[in-house]
Amino acid sequence: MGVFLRGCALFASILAVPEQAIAHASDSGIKLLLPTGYYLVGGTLAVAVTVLIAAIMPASWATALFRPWAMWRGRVPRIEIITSLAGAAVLSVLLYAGFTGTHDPLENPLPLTVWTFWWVALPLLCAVFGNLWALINPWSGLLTLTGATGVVPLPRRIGYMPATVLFLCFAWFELVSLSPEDPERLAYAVSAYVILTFVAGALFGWEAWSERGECFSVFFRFIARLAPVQTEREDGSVSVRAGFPGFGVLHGKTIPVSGALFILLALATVSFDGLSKTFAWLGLIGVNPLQFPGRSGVVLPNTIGLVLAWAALAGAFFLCILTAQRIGRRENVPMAGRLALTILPISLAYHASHYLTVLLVNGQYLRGAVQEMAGLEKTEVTTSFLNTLHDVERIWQVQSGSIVLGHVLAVLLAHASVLAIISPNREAAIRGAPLALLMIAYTAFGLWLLAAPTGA
Amino acid sequence: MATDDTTRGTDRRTLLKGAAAIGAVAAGAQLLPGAARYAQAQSSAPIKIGFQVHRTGIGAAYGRWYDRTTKAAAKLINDGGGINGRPVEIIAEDDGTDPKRGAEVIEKFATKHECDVAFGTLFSHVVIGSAPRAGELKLPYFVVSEGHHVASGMLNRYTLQPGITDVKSQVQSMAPWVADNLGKKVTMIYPDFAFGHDHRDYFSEAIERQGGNVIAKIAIPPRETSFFKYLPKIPKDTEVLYHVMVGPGVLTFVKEMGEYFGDKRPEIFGFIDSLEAVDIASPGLEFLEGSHFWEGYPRYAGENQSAHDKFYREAVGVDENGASLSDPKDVSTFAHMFGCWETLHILKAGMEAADYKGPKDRQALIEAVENMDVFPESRAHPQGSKLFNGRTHQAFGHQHISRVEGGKLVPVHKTSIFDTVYEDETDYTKMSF
Repeated sequence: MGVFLRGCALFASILAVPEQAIAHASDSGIKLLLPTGYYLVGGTLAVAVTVLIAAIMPASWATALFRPWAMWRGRVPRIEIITSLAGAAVLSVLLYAGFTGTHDPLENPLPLTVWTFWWVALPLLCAVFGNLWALINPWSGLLTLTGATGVVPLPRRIGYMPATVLFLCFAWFELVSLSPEDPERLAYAVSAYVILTFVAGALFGWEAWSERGECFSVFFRFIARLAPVQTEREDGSVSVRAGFPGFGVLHGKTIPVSGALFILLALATVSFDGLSKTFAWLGLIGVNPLQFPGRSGVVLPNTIGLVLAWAALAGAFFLCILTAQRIGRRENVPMAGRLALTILPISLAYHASHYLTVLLVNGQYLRGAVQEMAGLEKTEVTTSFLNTLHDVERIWQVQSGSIVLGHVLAVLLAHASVLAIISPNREAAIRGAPLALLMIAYTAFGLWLLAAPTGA
Repeated sequence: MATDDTTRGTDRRTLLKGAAAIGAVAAGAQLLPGAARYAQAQSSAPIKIGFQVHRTGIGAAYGRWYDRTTKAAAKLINDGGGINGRPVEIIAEDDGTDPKRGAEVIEKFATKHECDVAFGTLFSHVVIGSAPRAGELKLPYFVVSEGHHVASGMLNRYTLQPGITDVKSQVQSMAPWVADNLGKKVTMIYPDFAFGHDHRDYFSEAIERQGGNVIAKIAIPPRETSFFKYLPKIPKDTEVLYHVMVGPGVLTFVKEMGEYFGDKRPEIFGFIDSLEAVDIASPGLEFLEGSHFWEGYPRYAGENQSAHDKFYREAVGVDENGASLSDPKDVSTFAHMFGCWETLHILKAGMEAADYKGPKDRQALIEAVENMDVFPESRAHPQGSKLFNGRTHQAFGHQHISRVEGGKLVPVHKTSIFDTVYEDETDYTKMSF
């Protein structure tokens, strides 16, 4: 109790203290000078018009747009064991650096690799080149070599819940916990997850655990379905197909409701990360946006907010699905899993736009760490592009463009997805209308989020 | 607060004595290169300085420049033979700009890294969250925060701020020049929370001492991002508009102020904190042309650049415009970061005066710094000479006023140190260790 009271007294003294305010203008301030309102209206209208065009264009067009063509089929050596072993070796070195290296998170290679390369850049690379995580994850090679194929089956009825729960823990660690970038703390967290995954992989078999339990295998696999080239291994040979980005969403396995919840969580997570920094959210939780108290002051409201964001998004999504199943002339068809996959482009777009500045700044620190390891002189980091109108405008255009394009692709995919189970086109448009409306609203929300003043 | 003339007079006399010593000590300091004196050190183990840095969180933009300045100062000290012949090792830990994490970092410095001292914190709430732990662990904690919390007496004997002046002294020292040159009828616009209230209170008091007065106090709610509705509240007979807006809304504030006033406007005075690290020549800031700013250390070197300033900028990698040598558009947090440089040099001087050998000499180090009274302008103190008040653990120094001309800040006035001095609010030397 004494410690608690002392903590309360300290917190009260912090809140009451006269303080210098040195939160400077930054890109958030410059964005307030940009005509972001026009972008918001224009971007939202562009998505709305896409919905209308999809509704009136011949059904064959949507189907044709996402029809892949076979590029190549043949035998390739199984390199994924070697690449995974290499991934494990690299991770071991990074963990060693995390435990024993510099404590500066912008110089230690572990946090830079984890947060900048792996979490920010790799999803973007997977959306272009396919599922690279399947190749470089540290588990599959070792588990395959040791012949650990699992001793008990992972119950089918729990679906994607293990991955969903683990992803929620990850999101909390990233967005809410006190110091996820601290090299040593991160090294412990990564080590714990690596061990947990080895144990679960040995217990349930890597195939089952990576399918529904290892949350990053699930995440990267989903994101990779947006890539314009998809590969499939069957009976020792690999077939390669190419097509319009996102065709893999339509021409692949559908997912259960728990898989839909996973995808919604991934989108809610990055959305909440943006929201939690806005004046609007800080005002809601009673924090002065010009005097942000630090993460420790918002652990509880942000924990609740993270879960609520997921619940709100999932609630809105399933309301759309229920409405879709109750309107129109046809009997009910399962739509949740199929349509949740069409949200993936939105998830990717939020990821790209939200993390763009992190990539631009921390990417330079990562380059510095690589230069240092190579014995080269480090290039000075600059953030001038966050403080000049011209550059901030370019960044804003890339961010808002990503949001709009992501939603346009999602709308087209959703329409084509409904068409795959419901015809004619008019009926599909009616059934898809609730989700299309949600996507239009989410475009406006995403653009507002990017433009909103931030204080955290 | 009533002024106690006796106490005030005593303080002034003491400090005046210190000021008289500036010239003599400055001359002496130039003749004594530190390396030669400490060549016979007994131990070559590094002096470990725990650098509590805002690497992440809202202070990260400042942390980046605090880091660059600290590394440059440490390199200079090491190139000159280190401290007492021992090399300096900077051990950086990210505090996330968070008070709880800050306290954790202090604990790591003391127990895990076995640092000799902790140093470098900027944001007030982190200082206030960390200082009690530093006191409990008896770890000297040298902050570079600018906050008044050190001199106000709310911290402890182990926490000192010798390398940067505090906001109270900065604000009050502006009043004489503002009253004499811009006008005596002042309207203040400030964010409606502690930071803005401090400016309101310190400046109101100071301008009244100059025969002026604040004719309107316009408090803006912190969540406001448009300011048009507040501008008509500025009285027509306002001679000086004193603004201290901060946060993302500040650029909008300047733009709307320009649209509201057009060509007819009062004199405008602000604090560079609003536009730290922002290029003054940025589109949208044209309205600031001809207005004045407080600067802790002039961002633009100007025509009267001192040799010390030139040396400091080269060592940190900053050009004559206060921007990075590697990217002229990357404007530094120039008005604040010199505090890291100067604090490290004070640590060196303190450790040498105390013949510091290890953690058992921490009290001697604090007493040695408390006994300091003058930091003469030099390579170690490029911002200018300072007086140090050992009782309040706070430095006092010249402040600068610059005018925006052609998108640059041109220094027009350097205050006397005595314009910055106020009566003691505490005496840490009476606290036991």
